[in-house]
Amino acid sequence: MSRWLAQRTDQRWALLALISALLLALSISLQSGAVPIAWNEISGDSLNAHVFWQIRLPRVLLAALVGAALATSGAATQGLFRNPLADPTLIGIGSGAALAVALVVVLGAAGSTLGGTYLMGIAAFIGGLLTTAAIFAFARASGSGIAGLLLAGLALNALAGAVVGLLTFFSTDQQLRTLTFWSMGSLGGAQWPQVWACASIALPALILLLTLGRGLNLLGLGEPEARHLGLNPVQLQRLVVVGVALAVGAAVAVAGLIGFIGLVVPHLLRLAFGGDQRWLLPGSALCGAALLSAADTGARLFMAPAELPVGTVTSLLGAPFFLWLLWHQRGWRI
Amino acid sequence: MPAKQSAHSAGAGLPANTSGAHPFARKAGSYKRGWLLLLLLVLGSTAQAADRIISLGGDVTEIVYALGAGKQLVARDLTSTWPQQVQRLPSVGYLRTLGTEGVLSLQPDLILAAADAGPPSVLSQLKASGVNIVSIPQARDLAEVQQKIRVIAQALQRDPTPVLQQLNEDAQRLTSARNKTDVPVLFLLTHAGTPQVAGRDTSAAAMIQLAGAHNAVEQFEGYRPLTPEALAVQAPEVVLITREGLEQLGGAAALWRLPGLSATPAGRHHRLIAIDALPLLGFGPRTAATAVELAQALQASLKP
Repeated sequence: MSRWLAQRTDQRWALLALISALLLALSISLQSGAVPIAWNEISGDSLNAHVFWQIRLPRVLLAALVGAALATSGAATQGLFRNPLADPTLIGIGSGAALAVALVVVLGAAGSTLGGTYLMGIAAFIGGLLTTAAIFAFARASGSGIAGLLLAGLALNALAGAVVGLLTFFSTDQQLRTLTFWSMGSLGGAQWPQVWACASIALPALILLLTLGRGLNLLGLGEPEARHLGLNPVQLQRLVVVGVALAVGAAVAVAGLIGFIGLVVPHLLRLAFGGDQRWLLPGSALCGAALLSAADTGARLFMAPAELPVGTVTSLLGAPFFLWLLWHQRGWRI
Repeated sequence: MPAKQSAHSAGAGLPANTSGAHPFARKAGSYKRGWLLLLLLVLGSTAQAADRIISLGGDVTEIVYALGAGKQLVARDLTSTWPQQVQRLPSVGYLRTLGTEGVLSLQPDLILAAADAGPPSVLSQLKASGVNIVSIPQARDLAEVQQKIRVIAQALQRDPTPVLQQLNEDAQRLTSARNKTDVPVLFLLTHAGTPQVAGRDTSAAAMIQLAGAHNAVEQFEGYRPLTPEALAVQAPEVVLITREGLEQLGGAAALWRLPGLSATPAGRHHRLIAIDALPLLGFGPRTAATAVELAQALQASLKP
């Protein structure tokens, strides 16, 4: 009992540390950029105030939101599949979004105008959800539970990837470049409408996912055991998929495909929290938000006035750290 | 094969005369009125003419320098590599992946943006921040190049006449240079991975046509990897490539080892022309001069 209490205290401290890390990342991110802005310049009607309120702030908030959505979804997916290598792309959101974006770009010539950019975002969101729904329907028809979900996901991802390949072949040079840059992911050009649109979908989805920690803990014991303990695995599966699809769909719609965060953040946090999903899920949200806003600050600063693709920076910062952890945590349970 | 980027193309890029900016001062009747007019003109032009310009697109930057406004540039994009001195300016990155804040940090009052500059959301943010963005139309023939030069000259409040005149002179040389060379020419694009060939509606095809030949591949639009067998069927007489592409490939010997290429007439006679990418594909002020160079190289390589 006292040991359990001690562990719980540890987790509280770790969560507190993550909150301060997020606040630190946000304030550094807001303070830095290609345009030097002092805190006393952000009120009034100057160009610097405009840059702060209309360009930097929406981007920093969007980075935090997308990071939280991706990392929490990653933790939930890994919990659902009881597999540390699972990530939200397994249930088709990435490939479905890519397919829908490729369709509107190649067939509809979107991407060269502002309206086209919004169209790509909407297509990504709808395409991701439809693919997830299809995977879910096939899995249910197969009647083989989570294994069915995994297999249907693999098959439909492959199919979507093949159609994207076909569309790529028929694309013009300009369309191909639009697709390539979309698939690298970016938070550039973030504006308030995108922040509101993303938040209105991703925040409720995040809250839903955060309530599923206990259920995912039970599921971690194995499907039959969880059933004996009063859990309805089918219900849980449905809730996780809906939450992840909405959260990642909203993130992909505004930022394209940003890799690494969904897969790695939950792993990092298992060190601090152990496998308890009730802590892992909120921890992932905080850590994902902090990591992506820090990475995006790097993307904005390293080559200023030019910009790096943020997915590159997340991997550049995250992967060596991850390897270092791997080296120092022999026998670490994943 | 042409020996090097020829001297006349450099001449086309250098401004011949930029003093034409204030020709009205001399025309004024009395000295007093003249000075007043000049003062007004100077005041008016400093209020309007931009002096912190960002140029996006290699062709656009070339034209800015040709018009004599190179000193007003504060930044460029990655594709702007010519003239040499432009490479000393800070780069805002690849012109399709601009960052709003990075661009604003250079405090531009005018951005000359090639048609493919973006992303659109960044351009709209820049406009909303009060930066004047002039988008420059694409060009695929000499008339469109002239139009491009006029649009940029107007945005810079410069006189386009000397640059247009140079282009016209080159175009006249082109009329006499482009004869009896209407052979199929294959353009190879070797960025990464499998080399691709230029189809219809590409700037490479337009340039080949300008030089009096025709593009070997008419079956598709844009750039596609072409299978070795199809390559032999197209039977190009000459292979055209950018100098940068040829270097990347590892020289002419490596190029002729590409599958399918040796079976073509061009491969059998080792007819290869390499020209710098920007003048060849950029459709800037050096276009006509480069077309002359290409036409002459075609004639030289086709001589038995």
